Amino acid sequence: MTKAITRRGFVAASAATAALAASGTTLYGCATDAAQAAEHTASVVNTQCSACPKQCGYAAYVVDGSLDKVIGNATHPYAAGTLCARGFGSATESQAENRLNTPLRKNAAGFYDEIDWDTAITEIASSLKTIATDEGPQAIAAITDGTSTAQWYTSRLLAAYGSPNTYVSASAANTSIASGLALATGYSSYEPDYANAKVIVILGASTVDSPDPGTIAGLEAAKEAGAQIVMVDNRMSQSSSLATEYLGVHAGTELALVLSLAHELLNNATLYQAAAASMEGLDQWKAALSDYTPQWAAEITGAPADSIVSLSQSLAKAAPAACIDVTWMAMFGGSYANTGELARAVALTNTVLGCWNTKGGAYVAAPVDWTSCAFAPVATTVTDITATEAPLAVDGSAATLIRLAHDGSVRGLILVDANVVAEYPDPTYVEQALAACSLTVAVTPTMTETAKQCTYVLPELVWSESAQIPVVSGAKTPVVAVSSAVVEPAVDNARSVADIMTSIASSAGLTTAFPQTVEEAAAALCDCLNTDYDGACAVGTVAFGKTNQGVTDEATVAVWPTASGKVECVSAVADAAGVSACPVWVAPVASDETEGLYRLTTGNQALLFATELTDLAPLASIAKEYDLEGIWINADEAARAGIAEGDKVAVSNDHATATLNAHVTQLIEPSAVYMACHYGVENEDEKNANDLGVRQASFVPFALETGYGAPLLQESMVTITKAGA
Amino acid sequence: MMTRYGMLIDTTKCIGCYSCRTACQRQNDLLPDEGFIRYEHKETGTYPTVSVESVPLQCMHCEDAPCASVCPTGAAHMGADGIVEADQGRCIGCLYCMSACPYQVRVRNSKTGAVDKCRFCAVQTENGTTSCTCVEACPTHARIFGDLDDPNSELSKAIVERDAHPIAGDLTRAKIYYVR
Amino acid sequence: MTYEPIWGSIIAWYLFLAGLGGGAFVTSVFIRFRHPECKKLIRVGHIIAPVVVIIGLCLLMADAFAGFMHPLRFALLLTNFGSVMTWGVVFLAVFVVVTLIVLIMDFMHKESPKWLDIVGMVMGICVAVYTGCLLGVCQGFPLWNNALLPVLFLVSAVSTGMAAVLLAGVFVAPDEFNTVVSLKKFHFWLPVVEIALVMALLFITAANPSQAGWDSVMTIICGNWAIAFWVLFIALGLVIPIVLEYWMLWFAGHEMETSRTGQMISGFSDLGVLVGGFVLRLLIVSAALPITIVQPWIF
Ligand SMILES: Nc1nc2c(c(=O)[nH]1)N[C@H]1C(S)=C(S)[C@@H](COP(=O)(O)OP(=O)(O)OC[C@H]3O[C@@H](n4cnc5c(=O)[nH]c(N)nc54)[C@H](O)[C@@H]3O)O[C@H]1N2
Ligand SMILES: Nc1nc2c(c(=O)[nH]1)N[C@H]1C(S)=C(S)[C@@H](COP(=O)(O)OP(=O)(O)OC[C@H]3O[C@@H](n4cnc5c(=O)[nH]c(N)nc54)[C@H](O)[C@@H]3O)O[C@H]1N2
Ligand code: SF4
Ligand code: SF4
Ligand code: SF4
Ligand code: SF4
Ligand code: SF4
Ligand SMILES: [Mo]
Repeated sequence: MTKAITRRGFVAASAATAALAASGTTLYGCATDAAQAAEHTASVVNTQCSACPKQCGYAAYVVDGSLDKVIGNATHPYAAGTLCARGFGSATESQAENRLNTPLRKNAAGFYDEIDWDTAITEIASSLKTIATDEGPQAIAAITDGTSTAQWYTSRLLAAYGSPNTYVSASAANTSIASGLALATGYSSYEPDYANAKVIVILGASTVDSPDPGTIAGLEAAKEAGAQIVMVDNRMSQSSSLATEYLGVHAGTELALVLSLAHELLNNATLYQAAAASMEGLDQWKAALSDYTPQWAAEITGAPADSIVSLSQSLAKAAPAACIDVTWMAMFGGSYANTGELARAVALTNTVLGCWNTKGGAYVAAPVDWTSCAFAPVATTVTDITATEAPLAVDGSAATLIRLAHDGSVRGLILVDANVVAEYPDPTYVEQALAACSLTVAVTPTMTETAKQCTYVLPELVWSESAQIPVVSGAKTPVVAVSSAVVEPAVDNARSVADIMTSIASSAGLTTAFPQTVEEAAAALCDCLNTDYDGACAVGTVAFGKTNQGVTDEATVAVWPTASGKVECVSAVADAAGVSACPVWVAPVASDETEGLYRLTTGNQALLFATELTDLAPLASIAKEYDLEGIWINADEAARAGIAEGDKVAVSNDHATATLNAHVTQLIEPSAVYMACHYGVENEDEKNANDLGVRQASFVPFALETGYGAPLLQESMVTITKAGA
Repeated sequence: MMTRYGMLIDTTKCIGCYSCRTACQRQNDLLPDEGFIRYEHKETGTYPTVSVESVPLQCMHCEDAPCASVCPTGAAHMGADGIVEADQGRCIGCLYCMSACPYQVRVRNSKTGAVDKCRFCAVQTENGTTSCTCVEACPTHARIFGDLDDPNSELSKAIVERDAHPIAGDLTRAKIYYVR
Repeated sequence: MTYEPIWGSIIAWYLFLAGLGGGAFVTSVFIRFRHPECKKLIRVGHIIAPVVVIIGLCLLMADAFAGFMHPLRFALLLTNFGSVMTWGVVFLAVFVVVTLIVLIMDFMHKESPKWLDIVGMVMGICVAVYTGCLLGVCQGFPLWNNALLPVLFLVSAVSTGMAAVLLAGVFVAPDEFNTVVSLKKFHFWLPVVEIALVMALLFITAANPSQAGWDSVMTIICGNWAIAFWVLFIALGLVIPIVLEYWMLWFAGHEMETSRTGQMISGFSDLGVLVGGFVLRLLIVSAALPITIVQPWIF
């Protein structure tokens, strides 16, 4: 045993993985002789984690057909050589007990009949065709989970029917952040250069609370190099040790913080002058900011004015190696009435810092142009159905689509891996929206709350059971990650989303070309990135040059993809949409300082991603062991209400009432409570999740952010009382 | 010279992310409810001047291992290189070792009834892992594995530099060192 | 996280029955020396001793699931003589063998040699003490990890053993039951000693530097286990038997003591001792909290 370890040494995992992967697909483990070697023969398949949108690339070792080790790709910017708790915990997802294995169709009595695939595909294909013909392609729509294959095939199918209405479920929540950024810069996301930054202001703890390993590695490096990392949240997360400072603010108020930082920074002549060159309407914004002093912001946010002043000073000093980080900020991003404007304000403030595409600053993620691809995106002639109601939403708004369905404007709705009943505000409203459609199709590996509301349920293969469309990730050094099938399907009659969409297209006789296999599409897409698909499969994740790309390397952006070619402080579109022309203070809508009323905040936990993972046994068992589904309440407030740690409490408002365990803590501000999302799966088919926690969204009315169309997931107040008292 | 394996866990770096636990479960093929690592959490202060610490615990591979001294069958025993082993083929599942372990880090396999625990799995590396999985998986590099008897090992040096100590002082002469 | 006790009621039954068996044999030897004429009561003790211990062992084996599935592994039980459990297995094995031999001889109406009785009695005491040491070596539990527990378990074992023999005596040998006054007087004192021991145990545990000691005591006296502790153990198992027997032995007239009613009252107090004896094991096994869960080293 000693030998094994000394002989192999502590080779860096990265080097080992790369070398093994490069040497072919069949590998020998640490065997001392031939007999043992045979025993340990593993094949290595490069794939990706599908447990969250970061889609970390990893090498899956397969021994005798079953999954052995999983090793994160060292070259993947998010995996950074490992995976997170969710990645490891979901790797064996195909083994979940409750897999669906037969297409189902709801009968008149409301029960499901098993049907065969041909029937299901033919009926769905022709229903979609009938709707598209009779009521126009606008009347059909789809929501996917945004993973590459689901999104690629589903949007292609809908476009083939003439409909542009394919939305990403994530956009339910990150619409306003992406759109606010786009409104200002033309780019809908960016990536801080953590490792080289001098000052990073992180809005919302979840960058570190629901982390990908790459981001953590970057923050670790920054901290080691002496960077100032400020975490702004109304709750201090478990992972706060990654930051050097914590700045507590009232929930929903950091727009005020950012506006006052901008106010201070623009008083710095050097920064102002440098910024003016690349910003359109800076004067106007500066004028609009005149009242937003640190004292003013202190009143609103609860953060001390001198902390705000000194933060603005360190930002100014560190610029351009400094930025404000809203990361995905989807949840928090899609949560308050002011988050689109917050994103805009952040984009503008970062521009003032001069941080774009410079070392230690932040890199904008340039979208890939796929038009030269053999399977180029299919254009449609109509505009997306949510564009009128949510004109600012950069890729449309899934939540607005739900509203339109509720109002009867959508007839056919396909839901691919999107559990909209569980994940959108007011589950009853969403159920009604699904019921209002004449055709609803759920494509899903397991019977979810959403699937139960659909007319057709199609059993799907999970990620590890089929090949996938490649994913481009990272802004600073973009990579492409490929994904092959790892294990044989655990069920014999489920199909991949690619097969399902392709067969619907062919049954409907649509003219748009679909690839024969996912691999064919993947190869074509890789081609477009000047990358060899087979080569990529051997290593999993490969960097590609900037040949096809706009901005990547260390070059400041000369021309921004906006109307003026500059970063825009003033937006006529925003003005027309009922949002201010340049970002100003907007208060969150649900504010009530009555004693005993709390704002219900939410967010992700390190352990879970969406309801899909809540049901996975290794993750659910940890959630149970540590009571992670409990509701956080400030200890002083709890003492006043006679609530002790672990007590059962009743959480209540006009929309819902539920009982769960209290987590009494000093880690949260007194005026808010926190309930992690993705619990409260009310579905007896999901056995592990079924008795875990309460659904936060059921306390929230169905309401959307003006212009942006994001659901207001944190605009609700609740009372907390000791249960039975 | 003998090897005496040990580990360092730097709780000032640990973010309580559970990666080490699910990674250990995956790479060592444990049952979904079988976790070799458990966590204790401690918060201090009042909002907003507050802090929180996570302490991952797992088998300390004690030199004076109470689990091994109470185990009637010898299933729990001191193995080679200072690694305390849990022989699944000998264990009758009397759970005596679980009661005797002062750190509460032994777990009963709910399928076989036998008791298991951290294996210092670096010695079983193959198929991509090169050290203990929990060490490799930790995104903050809060863990170091190595030879305590080699004063030049990364581990021995870090123990001295960071002034690391077993969690319960001299009790059981544990071989996991903590930085607090 | 919440702490689930490692051992449950099956182990409590096992500890109780092992002690009871040991105590019953001690009782039968006691009777043989002090009241040799009470053959029926002696036989009752001879029967109870191996039977309850064997039942206890069966429970233990069934609880040890991995061994239950692979019975050959039980042979390995004799491999670590550093283990209290291994010694327990030795004591139990010798005890069962000796008591079975004595029982068989009894049925064959042969007098067992005195030395064999002594061996059995010593083994019975060892078994009773072992049940306390088994828990006592677990350093993580302040409620267990002290020298009083084996003594308490020994006293309780002898007390329950005597109670079982006397209780059976009420029904199978009422005459002999009336005869064994010295046994009854001896038996009377055991719950009294037990009360003192339990109080001492609780004080010592509560004073343990670890919070876990205090918490364990609190769960027993005013927490989840309070009703079991006060009603079933202290009242039914100790105080009521003490009061009843005190009255019966020193106040009630001989008439009363030997009447059927008197016997029934004594029987009731013996039943109380048995219930209390089991509840004591259950409390000790279940209410003990480990120091790591309450985190004394960690914080
Ligand atoms: N573990 C895990 N990771 C995930 C996911 C998951 O489900 N689980 N989901 C992935 C997906 S799809 C997305 S879109 C992203 C979402 O990731 P984020 O957009 O980062 O959102 P959340 O993780 O929900 O966290 C919101 C955080 O904001 C804090 N917060 C709430 N209100 C306020 C406020 O007013 N001000 C400030 N400053 N903070 C506030 C909450 O305490 C919480 O820490 O996460 C991704 N990563
Ligand atoms: N209250 C509240 N609501 C939220 C959020 C929140 O934080 N709080 N977050 C919002 C955000 S950011 C997002 S992205 C959305 C997420 O919402 P969704 O995208 O709807 O995510 P899930 O709820 O996980 O649903 C994913 C579904 O994918 C299917 N699926 C696909 N592949 C697999 C597989 O391999 N295995 C299994 N078991 N299932 C698979 C299953 O049907 C599963 O239910 O929710 C949004 N809604
Ligand atoms: S961050 Fe975690 S959950 Fe997300 S893709 Fe990577 S490993 Fe999977
Ligand atoms: S920590 Fe516990 S299981 Fe590990 S060697 Fe020490 S006593 Fe045994
Ligand atoms: S459960 Fe197994 S390892 Fe533990 S003491 Fe009993 S036989 Fe030994
Ligand atoms: S050393 Fe290996 S077995 Fe032990 S906890 Fe870490 S990963 Fe698990
Ligand atoms: S993986 Fe590292 S940071 Fe995460 S819980 Fe384990 S030790 Fe802590
Ligand atoms: Mo999302």
